[in-house]
Amino acid sequence: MEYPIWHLTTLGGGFWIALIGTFHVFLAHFAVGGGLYLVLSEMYARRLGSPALLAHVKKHTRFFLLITMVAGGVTGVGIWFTIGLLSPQATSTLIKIFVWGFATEWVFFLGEIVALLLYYYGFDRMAPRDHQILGWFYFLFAFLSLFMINGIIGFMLTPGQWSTTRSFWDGFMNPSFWPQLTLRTAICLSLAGLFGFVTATRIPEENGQAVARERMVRMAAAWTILPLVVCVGAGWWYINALPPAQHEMVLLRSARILGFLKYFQAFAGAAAIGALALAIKSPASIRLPLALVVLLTGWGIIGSFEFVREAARKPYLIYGHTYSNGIRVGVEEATSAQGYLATAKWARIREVTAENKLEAGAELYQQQCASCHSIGGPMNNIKPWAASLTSTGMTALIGSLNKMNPAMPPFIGNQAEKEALAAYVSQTLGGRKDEGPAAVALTDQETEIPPFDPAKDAYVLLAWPDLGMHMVVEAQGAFSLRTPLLELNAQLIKRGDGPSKVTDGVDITYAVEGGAAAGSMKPLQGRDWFGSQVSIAPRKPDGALNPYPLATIEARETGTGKVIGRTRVALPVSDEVACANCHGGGDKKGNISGETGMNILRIHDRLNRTRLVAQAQGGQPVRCTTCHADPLTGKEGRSDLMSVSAALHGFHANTLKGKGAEACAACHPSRPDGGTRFQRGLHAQIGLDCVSCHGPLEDHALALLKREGEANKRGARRLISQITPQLMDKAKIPPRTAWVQTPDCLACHKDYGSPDPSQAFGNWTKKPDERFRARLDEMGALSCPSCHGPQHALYPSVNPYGKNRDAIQPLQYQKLAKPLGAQGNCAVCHKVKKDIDAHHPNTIQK
Amino acid sequence: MDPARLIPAAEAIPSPWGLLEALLVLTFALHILFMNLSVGSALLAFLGRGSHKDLAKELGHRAPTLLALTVNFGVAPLLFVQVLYGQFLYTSSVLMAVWWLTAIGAVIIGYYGLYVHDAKGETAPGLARLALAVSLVFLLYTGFLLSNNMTLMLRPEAWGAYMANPRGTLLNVADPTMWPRYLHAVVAAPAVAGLYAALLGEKKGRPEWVDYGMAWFTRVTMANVLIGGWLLMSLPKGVMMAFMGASPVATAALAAGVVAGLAALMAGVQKKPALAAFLAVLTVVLMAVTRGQVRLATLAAYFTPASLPVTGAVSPLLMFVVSLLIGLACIGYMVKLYAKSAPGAAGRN
Repeated sequence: MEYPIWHLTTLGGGFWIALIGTFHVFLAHFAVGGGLYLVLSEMYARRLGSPALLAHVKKHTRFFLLITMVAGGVTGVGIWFTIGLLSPQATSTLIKIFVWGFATEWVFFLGEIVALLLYYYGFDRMAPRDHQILGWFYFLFAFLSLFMINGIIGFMLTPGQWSTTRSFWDGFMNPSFWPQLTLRTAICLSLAGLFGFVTATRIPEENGQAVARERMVRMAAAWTILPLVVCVGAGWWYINALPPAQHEMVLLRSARILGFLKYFQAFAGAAAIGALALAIKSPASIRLPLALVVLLTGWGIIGSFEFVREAARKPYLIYGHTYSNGIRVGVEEATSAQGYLATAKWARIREVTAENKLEAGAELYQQQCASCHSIGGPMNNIKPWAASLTSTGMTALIGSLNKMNPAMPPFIGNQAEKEALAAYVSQTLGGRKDEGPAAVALTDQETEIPPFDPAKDAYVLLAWPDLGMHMVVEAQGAFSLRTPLLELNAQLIKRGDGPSKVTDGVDITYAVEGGAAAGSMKPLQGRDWFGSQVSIAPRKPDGALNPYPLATIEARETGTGKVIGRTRVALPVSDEVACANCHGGGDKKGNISGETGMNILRIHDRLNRTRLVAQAQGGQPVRCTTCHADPLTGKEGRSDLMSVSAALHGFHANTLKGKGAEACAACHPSRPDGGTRFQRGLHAQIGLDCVSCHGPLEDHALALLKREGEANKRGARRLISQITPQLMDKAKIPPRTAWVQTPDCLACHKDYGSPDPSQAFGNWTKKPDERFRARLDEMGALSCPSCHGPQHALYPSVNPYGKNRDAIQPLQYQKLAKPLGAQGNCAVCHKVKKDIDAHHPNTIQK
Repeated sequence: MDPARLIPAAEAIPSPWGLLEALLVLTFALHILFMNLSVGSALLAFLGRGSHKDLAKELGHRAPTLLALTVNFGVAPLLFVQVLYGQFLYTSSVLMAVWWLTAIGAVIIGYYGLYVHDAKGETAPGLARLALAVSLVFLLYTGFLLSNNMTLMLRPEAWGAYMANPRGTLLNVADPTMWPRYLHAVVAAPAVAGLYAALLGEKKGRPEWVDYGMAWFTRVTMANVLIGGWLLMSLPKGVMMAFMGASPVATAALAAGVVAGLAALMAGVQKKPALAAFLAVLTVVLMAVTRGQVRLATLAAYFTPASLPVTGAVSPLLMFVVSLLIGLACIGYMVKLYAKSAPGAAGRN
C-alpha cells in the first residue's frame, strides 16, 4: 500500500523471484556442499598420492569458482534486487529487523571469496597443509553464510516468539531453524555430488586406465545419494516443527503443496537413479550429457522444496505480519472502510466510478492480486479461473477470499472496489458477459374452485403437499441434489356433530392437470389419512416454468365408484434455483444448466480434493447425497461429512454474508420478481420474510453447523469459526438437525396466541412430530397444514399465478380464504357452530 | 500533486543512524575503489593490448578478482542504504524495474567476459578481445543503471511519471545531476587503474608500466576535476549552496576532497605512485562522504534519517562487530598463508 507496483501480466505472479531465486539457491547450496567436497577430495587425492586426481580437484576448483562466484554470487544479489521490486514492504521489514544478521552474513561472504580465490590461485604454489587449511576456511565461511540466511528465511515462515517479543534472537532462532538447516545442509551435500559428476566424468585416462575417473564418479554418486536419504528424515522433522496453521497448509489443505512435495520426491528419485546410472562405466559421449541432465534434477529438487516452503507460508510473506501482496496485517478493517484506492499511496485511480469501473478493477488487481497471480503466464495464472464465476459470484468470492481458501489473503476494500475487481476479473480477463436475472412477468389465472354444498354434501376432502416448495436442483449431466419427490396428503372427513375420519371403504385418487401425473393414494402408516409420492416436473412441455400445477383429488366409494368428495390443491415444485447468478451457465429460463453444474463441481474438486468433474465427464452425474447426508430423504451419506444442508449453507454463509432475504433468493426460488415467488402465505402477506423465522444466512448456517460439529464432521468447526452471525450471539444459537427440526410455531405463538416475533428464530422443535408439517391438533384429529394450508402458503395465501390458487379448499368449503373453521365456520366439518376451542386454543376468537 | 505524499512510510531502525551512515559511506568508498580498479584494469587491458601486452595480460588476469571484490563491496552499501533510505530506493527501483533487473545479467556477462579474456588470451586472442569489449560495455552499462537509480531515489518530484507508466521502464536521464555523477565515478576508473598499474610496475621492476599508468592517472584525473566542477554546478540550487558554506559538514567534506584530489594529482605529476595512490584513496573516501552529504541535502526537504525511530537492540550489532573482527583476522591469516608460499604458476595453467 505504501509502494508503487511494478505492473506485470504474463511474467507476474512471482515469476522473477521463482526463476532467479531457485537458480541462485541451486548454485549457492552447491557452493556450500561443494566446498566440503573440494577439500575432502583434495585430502583424498593427496592421501592416494595421485597426480591425476589432484589435477582433477584443481580443475573442479576452477569449475566451482566460475559457477559459484559469478552466477551463484551475482544471482544472490539478484534475489535482493527482485524482492525489492516485487515486495518492497516486506523487504523493508526484513532488512530493518535483520540488518546486523545480513551484515554478519556479508562478513562470511567476504571470507568465502578470499578463501576461494586464494585456494584456487594458490593450488600449485602452497604447501599442501596450508592449502587445505584454506579449503576448510572456505567451507566454514560458506556454511556460516548458509547459517545466517537460514535464520532469516525461516523467520518468514515461522516467526515464533518474535511476533510478541520483537526480539532479533527470537526471530532468528525460530521454530523451523534447525530442521531447515539440516534439510538445506543435506541438499548442499547432494548438490555437491551432482555437480561433481560434471568434472568427474571428464577426468582423462592415465595409461589407458580410468582409475581416477571411476573413483571420483563413484564418490559423486555417494555424495548425491546418501544425503537424499537424510532429506527424508529432515523433511519430516521440518514439516512437524511447523506451527499448526502452516502444518495444516502443507499436509491437509493445499492441493498445490502436495503437488510440489511429489515433485521433490520425483526429482530426488531421478537424481538418485541418475547417479547410479552415471556410476556405471559408459562412453564419454553418453556420460557427460547424462551428467548435465542429472545435474538439472538438482535444480528440481531444491526448486520444489522452495516452492513447498513458500506455499506453506501463504497467505503471508512474513507469517502473521505481512501478506503476500505487501499489505500489513491489521489494516484490513480501517482500510476497507476508507476504500483501498483512497488509502494506497500509489494507486493511479483513487475512487471507483461507473465510468472507470474496469480500470479501477485492473488497478486493484495489480495492487492485491498480481503479486501471486500472473495473467496468462506460468505462475498461478488467473485466466483459467477468471471465467468460473459471474461478476456477482466473483464479488461474493472476493468478499470471502481468505475464508474460501486459507492460502489467500483477505481482500481489502469497500463494496464498490470488490465489484470493480470482480468485473475486471470476470469480464476483462474472463471475457464473461452475464446479465442479471430477468424479472418475470406473471399473469393472474382464474382458478376453478370445486363445488361444495354445505347442506347436502356428506364429506369434506382435504389435501395438502408435505412442503411449501420442492426444489429441483439438477444440472444436466453434472449433478443432482436429491430426487424430487412430493408427498401428497389427502384426508376424507365424514361431516357431523362428531365428524369422523374415513380410511376404509374409500378409494382416493389424484390427477395433476395436463396429464403430468396421476395415481391412487394409500392410507399412511400411523395416520388416519392417505398419502402418495408424486413425481412431477416443474416445467411445461414447452419449457415454461409451471411451479404450481393443480392436482384434483377425488374420493370414491369402494365398489360403487361413486364420487363422495372432490377437491384441488396446488403442488409446489420449481427448478428456479439461482446458482447461475454466481456460477454462470444459466439458461434464459431461470434454470441452471450442465455448465453451471460443472463450474460448481470444479470448485468442489479444488477445495476438497475430489474428482467429481472427472466422474461427471465420465457419464456418471454426481448425486450430492451419495456423500452428504440428507435427512429429508433419509440418505445417510458418508459418516465423516456434513449433511447437504449444513454443507451448502455453511459454505455459502461466507460468500453471501451481510445480507437479508436476498441471500436466500440467491439459491431458493423466492426472488420477488422471479417466476416462483414461493413465499406466498399469510406471513409474507403481513411483511415477514425468510429471515424473520429462519434467521439471516449466517445464523441459519451456524445452527446447522453446530449440530454437525457435535459429531465432528469435517469442516464444521472451521466454518463455525469463520462465520459471524448477524442476529444472535454465536454461543446462543442452538444446534439444529436439518429437516428434522424446524422453527417452532409455538415459540412465537405461545399457546396458539398472538405472536411474539422476537422468539421466531432460534427456537427449534424438539421432536419430529412437533414440526408444522407433522403436528396434530390437541385432539389428535387433524394435522396443521390440513386446515392452515402448507408451509409458506398459510391461508390466506396469495399465489403469484392466481390469487386463489393456494386457497382452493377454504374458498370451496367456507367461501372464506382463511384457515378452515375460522370466523365460526365450524360447520364445515361439524355441521354446527361450536363454542369450545377443542382443536387448539384460540381457534374461536371472541 | 505533492510528491511528499508518494513517499512510503519509513520503519524503525535497530541502531543509531550515524553508525549506519558511516558504514554506508565507508563500504561505498571501498566499492567505488574496487570498481575503479576492476573496470579500469579491464579498460587499460583493452586499450593497452597493442603496446603494453604484458601489462594488459597482468591487469586482465587480476580483473576478475577485483570484480569479485567490487561485487562483494557493493552488497554492503546496498544493505545499509536500504536500512536508512529504503522508502526512497525501493520506490525508484520499482519505477525503473525492468532496467534495474537487467543489471544482474549485465554483471554476470561482464564478469564471465573477464574470465574468458583471461583464459583465452594466448589461445584465442580474437575471442579474448571480444569478450573484454563486451565485458566493458556491460559493466559500464551497470554503472549507468546504478547512477540512474541512486539519483532517481532522490527525486520524489520526478516520481509522478509512474502514473502514466507503471511498467518499470522509466529512467532518470533528464536529471541534470545524473550524467556528471555517472561520469565522475566511471572516468576515475582508468585513473585508479593507472595508479595500480604503476604500483605493479614498481613492484615487478617494469618502469614502462609506471610511466603508462601515471600518464593515465594524471591526464584522466585532470579531466575528472572538470567533471567534478560540472557535477557541482548541476546540483539543485539549495543543495549546491550547502556545499558553498550553508552546511559546514558538507562544505568541509567537499573542500577536503578537492584538496586531497589536487594533492593526488600533484603527486601523480611528480611520478610518485605510492603517495598518489594513498592520496587517491583518501580522495575517494572524502568524496564518498561528500556524496552522502549530497544525498542528505537533496532529501532534506522530505526526510532526514535522524527522524527514524531507533529500537536500540545491541546484541545483534555486537554479533556483527565480533564476526567482523574475527573474519578480518581469518582473512588476514589466509592472506598470510598464501603470501608466504613461493610465487609460482598461481593459477595460470
